[in-house]
Amino acid sequence: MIEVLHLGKRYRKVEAVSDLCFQVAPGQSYGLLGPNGAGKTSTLRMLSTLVRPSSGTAKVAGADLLLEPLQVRANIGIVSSGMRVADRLSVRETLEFFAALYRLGPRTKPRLDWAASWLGLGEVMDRPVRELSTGMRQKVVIARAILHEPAALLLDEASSGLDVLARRALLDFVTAYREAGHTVLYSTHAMEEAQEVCTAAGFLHQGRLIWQGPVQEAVAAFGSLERAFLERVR
Amino acid sequence: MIWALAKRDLLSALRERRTLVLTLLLPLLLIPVLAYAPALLLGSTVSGGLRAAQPVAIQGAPKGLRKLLLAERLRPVNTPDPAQAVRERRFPAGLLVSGRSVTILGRLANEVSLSSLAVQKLRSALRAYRRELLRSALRQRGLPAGLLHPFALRVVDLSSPAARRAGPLAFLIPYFLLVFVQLGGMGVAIDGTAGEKERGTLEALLAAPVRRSQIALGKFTATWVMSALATLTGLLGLLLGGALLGLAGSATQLTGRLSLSLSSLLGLLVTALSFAALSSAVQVALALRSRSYKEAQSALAPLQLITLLPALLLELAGFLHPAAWWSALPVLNTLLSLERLILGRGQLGPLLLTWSTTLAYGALALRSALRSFQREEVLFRN
Repeated sequence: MIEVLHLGKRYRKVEAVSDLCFQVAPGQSYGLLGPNGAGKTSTLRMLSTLVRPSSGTAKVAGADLLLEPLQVRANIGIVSSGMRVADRLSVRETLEFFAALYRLGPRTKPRLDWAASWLGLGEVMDRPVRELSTGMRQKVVIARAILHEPAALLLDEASSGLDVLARRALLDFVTAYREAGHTVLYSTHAMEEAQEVCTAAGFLHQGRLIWQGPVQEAVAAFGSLERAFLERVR
Repeated sequence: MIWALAKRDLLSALRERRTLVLTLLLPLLLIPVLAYAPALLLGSTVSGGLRAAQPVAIQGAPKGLRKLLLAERLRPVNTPDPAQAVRERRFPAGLLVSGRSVTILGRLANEVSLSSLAVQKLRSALRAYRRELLRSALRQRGLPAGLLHPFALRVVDLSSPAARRAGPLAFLIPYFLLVFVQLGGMGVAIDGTAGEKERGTLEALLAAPVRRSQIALGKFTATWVMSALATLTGLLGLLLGGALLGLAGSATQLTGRLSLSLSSLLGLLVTALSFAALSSAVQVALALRSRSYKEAQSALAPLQLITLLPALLLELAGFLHPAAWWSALPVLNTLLSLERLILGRGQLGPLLLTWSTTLAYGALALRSALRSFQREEVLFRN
């Protein structure tokens, strides 16, 4: 469960996010949609405790952003477009390293096997990350985010730069992860992706949430999420 | 947790051939080469020059003097204008005798040259010639030759055996060691901070359930370990080089040779490793503030020059009287302690002051790095 309560972020004179409120229940996938610069990345960075909110707060799987940042980080997995893993290590070494950070202990091996089989990394586990294709590297980034099977998965433009096959694998994975009962927050400017994988969505424009509701409702009213967004912005 | 973070950075660094060469191989090979080779080369050139006979342009030299010139391994050649001949580099040196006036001619802008060697030989021949003339004058007046030597002069070197062994290395080794301590950690410090920011790998670390202070300490530990490895390989190179020179019986009086007692070696290690802690903390703090690998390299490069200044001061140490508080001055205290240990003059008091102040400065730098790890404008600056 993600509960966002009047969240705001200001960078000096720029108000990146203002008075943001929404909820994402377990088994739900919430699309945070908007053009570049709408405040999506700032929101996800706040929710993953990478940056501190200027106002408001949020709870992720019961842990408060401001009061329990370590617990929040333990409850989430985050994948963003610019996120990479050390490319001189093998996939296995990378995942074992993150397993240690998530204190998986004796669960490390089964969790590695689980993530590898879910994302199809089995054959490349002992290869250095630098030898992998962009799509496979992104899978390693995702694998490290879900190793501890987080209650909430946060994705920020995660399909950016991926080819058609890798993108398809990512979207299928997101759907499967939600269907397994987890909470997914999917931030993107690609409306058609959100329409496919999200159950609910919020339109973010100039740092403010201008609409939110079930994806089916928006599609029923406007034909597509993109048209719904454009109608709201105009 | 800190070690897990450091181990990942170390593993990543050790898989990079460039880092391996720069950190481990370079100090092992380059420190002994830098320390011993120039002096050995100079030594063999000088001794070759001493053995060979240099031609000298002469004018008006009497027969007796010519004989002495030959004895000094000089080859006198009668030349109409010795000054012009030396200026035109046809001869390394010249001699002009005109009545009671004797002039030695040379090109002495560079102290270490064939010309200065020939001038030295000319001086020596002329001293012998003067003695001969005086002896003959005394004989003619029926006076004893002993009048020329009213007393016997003897110079005794009372410096410690360690100081005599080390020779010029006592000044060179501390500087080289500090340079390699810094070089050793630099790659890891930059790669683990600015490099991680640039590549986008830092964000994944920051999103993991570890404290930022732990991440900072992990980066510091990895940097320190590489600095320590560079220190150890550098020292090993010096000791092995010194041992090989000793075995080969080479001209170690010219180069000096590192040979330490166990206590001095331990002191040297603790001094270098505590400096490695300071250097690593400063490198991590500075590199983290940089946006990219290149920017971090530019930020860290001046650190080597900061080491050079006190090292130059160390060369004058023989003329200075270092006060006790000098052992509290960063970098200079380390250089002084290293020099004293190499010379066999390490004392526990100044050493303890050096170690504690160096570690204290390191702690301050580390605190600055820890603070930077809390600042989002630093972490997401790229």
